[in-house]
Amino acid sequence: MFSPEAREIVKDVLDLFAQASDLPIAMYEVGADGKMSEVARSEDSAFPLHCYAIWKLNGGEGRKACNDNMCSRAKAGFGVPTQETMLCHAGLTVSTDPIFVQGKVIAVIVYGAYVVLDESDRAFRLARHEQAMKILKATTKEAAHIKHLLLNETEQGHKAEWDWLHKTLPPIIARLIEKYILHTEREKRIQRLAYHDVQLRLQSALSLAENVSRHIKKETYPNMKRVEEIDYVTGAIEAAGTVMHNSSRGQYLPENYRFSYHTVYSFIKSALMMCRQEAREREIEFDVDLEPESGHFKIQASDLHLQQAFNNLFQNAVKYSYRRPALKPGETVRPYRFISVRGLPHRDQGELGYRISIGNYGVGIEPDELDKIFTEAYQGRLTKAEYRTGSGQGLDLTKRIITKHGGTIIAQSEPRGESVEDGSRPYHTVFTIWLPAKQSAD
Amino acid sequence: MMNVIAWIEDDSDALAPVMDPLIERGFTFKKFRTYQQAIDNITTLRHCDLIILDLILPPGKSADTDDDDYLGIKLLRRLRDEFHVKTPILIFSVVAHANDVLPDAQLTKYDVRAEFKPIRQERLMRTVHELIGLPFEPD
Repeated sequence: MFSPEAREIVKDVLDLFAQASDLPIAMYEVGADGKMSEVARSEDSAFPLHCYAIWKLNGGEGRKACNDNMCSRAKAGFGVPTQETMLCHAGLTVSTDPIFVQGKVIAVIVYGAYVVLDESDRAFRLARHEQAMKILKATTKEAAHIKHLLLNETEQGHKAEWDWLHKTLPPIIARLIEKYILHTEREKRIQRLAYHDVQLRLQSALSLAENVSRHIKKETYPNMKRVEEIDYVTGAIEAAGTVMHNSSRGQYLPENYRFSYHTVYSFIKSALMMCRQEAREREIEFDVDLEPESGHFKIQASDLHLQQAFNNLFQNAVKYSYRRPALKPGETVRPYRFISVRGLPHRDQGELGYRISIGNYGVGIEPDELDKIFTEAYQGRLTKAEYRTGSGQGLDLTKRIITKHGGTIIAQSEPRGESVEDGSRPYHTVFTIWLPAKQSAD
Repeated sequence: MMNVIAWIEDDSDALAPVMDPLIERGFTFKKFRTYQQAIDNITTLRHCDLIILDLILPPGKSADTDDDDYLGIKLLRRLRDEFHVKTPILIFSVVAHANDVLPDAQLTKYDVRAEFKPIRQERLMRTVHELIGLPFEPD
């Protein structure tokens, strides 16, 4: 459960606790082999002289016996979902506190003090001490010295402090571990899925290039076909680049936005080139209608960033489109599948800009998720059954880029049409972006 | 006789170019995009000449599975242990995933081969031909 990095963090937390409280503390977990083992412990300097003296017994066997005993205490505490107080083998009062993460006990912390809980404690404590001295083969002198240390230390504990620790320590450690573990696991998953996405696109580009090469060698492609297929290769490489930027959350895009004038059509054309290959396989066509004609409307944009945003939107439109279904009995024409792209100049609160909508027909977004989908790593519920293999980073980055341009983006999604063969209900989903024609002076 | 390959991969549209040379050599493909689609078509899988399997698979609409990204592993185990499917299986996945979740010992136990993306077509074709028991001549 705990990686080496997590163990370092836990140790730092335990050291902090030990420094502040003067109480030795350790954390234990049940490993994959079912055995209790130590995750981390505070530095030895937190342990009292009584413990040091026991450790020295029998050529250091005392320390081994001590560690084994702590594991047993942890194991006893692991099976009980509440705090337990007990004595260690040599008479130290020990508390075992389970650490819950998402409702499950994932570890136990064990910390000790010489607090005397009540008068019957003392006799029991001394009996434990006698037993330990026999097991560890202490000489009479050694046993007397250790008993002196035990009795000396025992007077120093404070019950009120002990009770306060019980209440405050476990929740703090649990919160810290939960945040760390959940954050780490989430990050690992995002990285894994992002890596998968990137490799997938690289594979596509590599294979497209190999196909072109093979057909050119065999002279089975006429010239125009070669040009067309090479365009698919470049598009696939651009798709890989788009996914790479998503996986890094845009960190490797230029930090500064450099604005210059570009036609809206230039971004749309590049995005279309990027996703043509996958659209071809899914038999989806693009229906593009931009005003004024050919979309010559110009906007001030940071081209690398805005292209990333458009690439993401087009890539998603293709990815979440349903494939053209096969012919049904009696049909002679297969139902059309297309992605619609509409654009026209539009004033938003008096400011001139350009509005573009990208609509597709396929996996939808539920009403309560229309804002959430722009959150990092969020994946819509309806995508999970069939389209889980994205990293969930694209729309978050897209929205940040659009916002940085002073623009807006919204999503709409409604069920439309009859069910397709696998029982899923198709949705018409539209992303609408508005971008200002000019950037403000600042 | 036509050789049929079952390809269990949710991104088969984006990856379609990988399989072009096999199609040109007369192989046909039956595609399954989710864990559940594969489970619902065990008989088909049993009668194919080869199964090519990705490790990361979405569950599918009616799947009763945990929230697990590596449903390809679960599917592999069920195919071999529960359904006793003897069709040769080629794991075709991304390197990091294979190393993390499918050590060599499991490859041996389940009698599967593994190739990792991205791959050159000739290597993939050679492996496919070997697993099906066909001679292979490169282009």
